[in-house]
Amino acid sequence: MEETADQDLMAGIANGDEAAFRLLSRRHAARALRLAQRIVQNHALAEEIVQEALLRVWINAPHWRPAAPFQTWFFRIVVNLCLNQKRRPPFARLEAAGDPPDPGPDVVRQIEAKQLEQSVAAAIDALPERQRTAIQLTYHEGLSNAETATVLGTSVSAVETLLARAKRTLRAALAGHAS
Amino acid sequence: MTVSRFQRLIDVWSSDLSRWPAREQAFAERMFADPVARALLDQAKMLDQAISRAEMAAKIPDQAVHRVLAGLRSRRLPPQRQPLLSHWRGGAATNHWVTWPRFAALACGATLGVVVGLSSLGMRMATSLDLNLTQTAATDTDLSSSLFDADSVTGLGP
Repeated sequence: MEETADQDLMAGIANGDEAAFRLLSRRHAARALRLAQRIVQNHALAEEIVQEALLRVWINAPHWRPAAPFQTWFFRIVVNLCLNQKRRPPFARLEAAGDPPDPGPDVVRQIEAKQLEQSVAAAIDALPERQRTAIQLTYHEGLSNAETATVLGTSVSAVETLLARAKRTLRAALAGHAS
Repeated sequence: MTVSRFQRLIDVWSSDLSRWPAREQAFAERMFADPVARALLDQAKMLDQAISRAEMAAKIPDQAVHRVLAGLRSRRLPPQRQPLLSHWRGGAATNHWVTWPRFAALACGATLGVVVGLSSLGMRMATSLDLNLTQTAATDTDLSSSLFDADSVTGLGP
């Protein structure tokens, strides 16, 4: 059963198979949590959202048609729930990370790389929600621009615009870090 | 213009040229002769690596996944939304004792609607026929009276 394809599990879930639902939930919960966490920037809220998204999978399974991969459909539910919620906490600043201890030359390079990573992470967190979601879906979840458009419920050209704007902002953050 | 287009393509398709559409890859190869374009690509690669590393750093603790799954286990799953057509496709045959009252109610409602609709249509037609006759008669009689009656305000005749 562990090897069963998502599509077959969904067929079972549509017939009320709870074991198939538990397995599908285990399979996709971590990625969904990471996606939700990136969008809402709140661990507890991300957990609530993923739980709700999984329940919606259960409830709506009889309506699901395998026209698109299950993951795309599921991500769409997660993203919609994330974008619909309004309780967004304030963005935590990078300065809260504190200063590094007195380093040697190699450590300096590592710290610089770490700081660059943190700067970019902070810049990603500060992006508007839809831009941040597009970055998350294309970079981390490995979705194509067309799949990202399906998840976001928009056109491919709109996704391209979101990505271009996000990259412009992130490039500026990177340039700021370099200077 | 060409460099700005190159930058736009990098932003949209990433610095990994294998992700680009084939015709844009040919354009990218032509652009490599330009040192400005090469610098843009190098910068984009650095940014893409930083984005990927930042995303990798955002690890979700196992406990969070366990909490979500435990939360699902602890609650009773709600009823599923069945497609309406499933009743027609065979659900009605197997669960007729559950579904037939609904269809009976639907049929009764539809029949009642038709009866009420037809009767009200008939009444409306009869009313409009009466009205037409009355109006015709009123037109015949009242025309002269309205022409020759005294004015209601002044009391003066024509």
